Amino acid sequence: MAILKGLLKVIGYFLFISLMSFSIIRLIPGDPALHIIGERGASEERVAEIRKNLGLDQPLPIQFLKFSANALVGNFGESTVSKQSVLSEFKVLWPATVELAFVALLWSSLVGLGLGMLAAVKRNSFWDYGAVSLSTLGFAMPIFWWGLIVIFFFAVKLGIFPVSGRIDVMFDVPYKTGFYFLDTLLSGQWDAFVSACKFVVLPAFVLGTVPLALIVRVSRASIIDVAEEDYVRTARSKGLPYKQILFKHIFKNALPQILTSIGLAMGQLLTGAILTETLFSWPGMGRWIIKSIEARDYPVVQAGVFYSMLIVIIVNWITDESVKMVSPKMRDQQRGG
Amino acid sequence: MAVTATQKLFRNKNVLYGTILFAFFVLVFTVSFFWTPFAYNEVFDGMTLQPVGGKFFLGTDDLGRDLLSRLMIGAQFSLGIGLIVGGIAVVIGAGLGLFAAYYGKRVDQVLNQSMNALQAMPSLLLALFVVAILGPSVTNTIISVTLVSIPTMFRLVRSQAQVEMAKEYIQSAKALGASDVRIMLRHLLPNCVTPILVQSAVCCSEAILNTAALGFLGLGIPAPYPEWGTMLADSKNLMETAPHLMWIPGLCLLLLILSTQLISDGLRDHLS
Repeated sequence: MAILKGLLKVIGYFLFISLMSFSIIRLIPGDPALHIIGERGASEERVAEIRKNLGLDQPLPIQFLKFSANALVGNFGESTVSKQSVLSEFKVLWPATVELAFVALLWSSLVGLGLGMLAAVKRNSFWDYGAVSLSTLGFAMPIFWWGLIVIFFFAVKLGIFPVSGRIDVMFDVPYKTGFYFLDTLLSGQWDAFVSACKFVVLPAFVLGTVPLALIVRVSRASIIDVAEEDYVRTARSKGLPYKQILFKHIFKNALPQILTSIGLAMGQLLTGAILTETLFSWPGMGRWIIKSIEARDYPVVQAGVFYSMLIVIIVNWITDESVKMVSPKMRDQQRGG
Repeated sequence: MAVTATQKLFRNKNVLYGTILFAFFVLVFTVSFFWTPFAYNEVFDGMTLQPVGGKFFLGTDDLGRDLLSRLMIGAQFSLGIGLIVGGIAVVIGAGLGLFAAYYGKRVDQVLNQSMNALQAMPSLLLALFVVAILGPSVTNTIISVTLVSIPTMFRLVRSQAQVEMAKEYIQSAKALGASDVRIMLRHLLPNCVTPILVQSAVCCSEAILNTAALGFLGLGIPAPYPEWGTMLADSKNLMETAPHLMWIPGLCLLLLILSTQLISDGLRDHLS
């Protein structure tokens, strides 16, 4: 029964995502085919061909069914700009974004957790005020300006990190997984691996800033919350060492909230990736979507809507599941306890 | 001496500093309609990339236009859009929230699900897709940024209004034969003012940020209007020769967003 329910949910989500990405072309006022051609104009046959390519020559319900069926196997047609299939472009680009987001999330959660804990434990100290102001600033910071500042200092003034691309052009990395960290090591090019690491530093630093602000704020607040619970007072009055209370009693119970905030941060990463990738010419999904919008490359825009919504839903699901796993309360509820 | 509610509110440091900062931008915004040092699109030959100070108070850009004048006009877009979007979000988002909570059942389900649908996408991405459909312009920027800000307002107001709906005064108002509209506006609305106030400041700051982000990506307010995000995008290739073009618009943007966030944070603390 639970499996059936889950399956229905998945089908519902899928239909919803494909409906959203399906409608984007149909919502354009006027004929999208004429939009694609632009102001130069084209022959009647060419217009008919484009309409057929986009599947606009059939009734709407059939169009939608066809679109969904194609989306299911990842077929979004071919890009009107590069003439390559959208799927083959996506295959090369998504690992770049995931690699960048992974590094950004890793540093921001580690530093964010550390700072949040420090601020909560040493409440009203210099560290606390520092962490809180840092997170307030981080929230308000327009990430693209922050990126410009980072480029200004680390690339222009100091010249220690490269700012454009994923790896030095002198390296030729054979495609295996698409993740440069893995591919360079798999092909045994140590220098290329170091270069890939250097290229990821600045964009990941910039991308992780807003998530950092969120994680610091939430982990501080939730640790302070839990620290005021009765069982913590009991543990203290028993004379347990504070370190043990902090990690065994407080941290464990604050973790579900912190994990939820990290999940939220992942959603922000996707938005941030668009700006960061544009700023650092990082060849990932974000820049792909922007370029396709500028070029009115609608098959790619549709795929962009589809995949980004898919990612958000998957991320939300993973967050929910991991919160269930670490939270003793919710775990017991699931077992029916 | 008696302490008025306003004085109490401004004892909150966040509200105080936020309001001071925000008032400064409102001043600049107001002045910009009547006076700027030069016309924002006036090109001064041979005066390109002037540094800060001198005849041009904040220097000039790569075409020889006065930066201060452009910043002031830019405030019209950033702050103006922020205020407009905050206002529309209150009217539509809060209105729909009250509506959904009051009528419940089907109405609530439909509204709630459509808001969920809007929220299934990261906000900037949704704004981008709206611009992709409608094309970049001032109106379309406002439309896309507003659309993004409505769901959170809706949700907050709806959940607060649902709590209020279960209370007795609503039932007694119904029993007295008050009309639906009257209950919603006279009874429900005043009790939902806290989330509306806080969230409208949040909407304002998100709108400012998203407008600038759209501008930075080249899909926001089109040229020749000076918009802070677009100005930042243009400054990227000039950061070595004219770093003031990067520092000043960015700082304005940061401070404006910071001011609205301080106000919303402070209000939340103060009212809860």
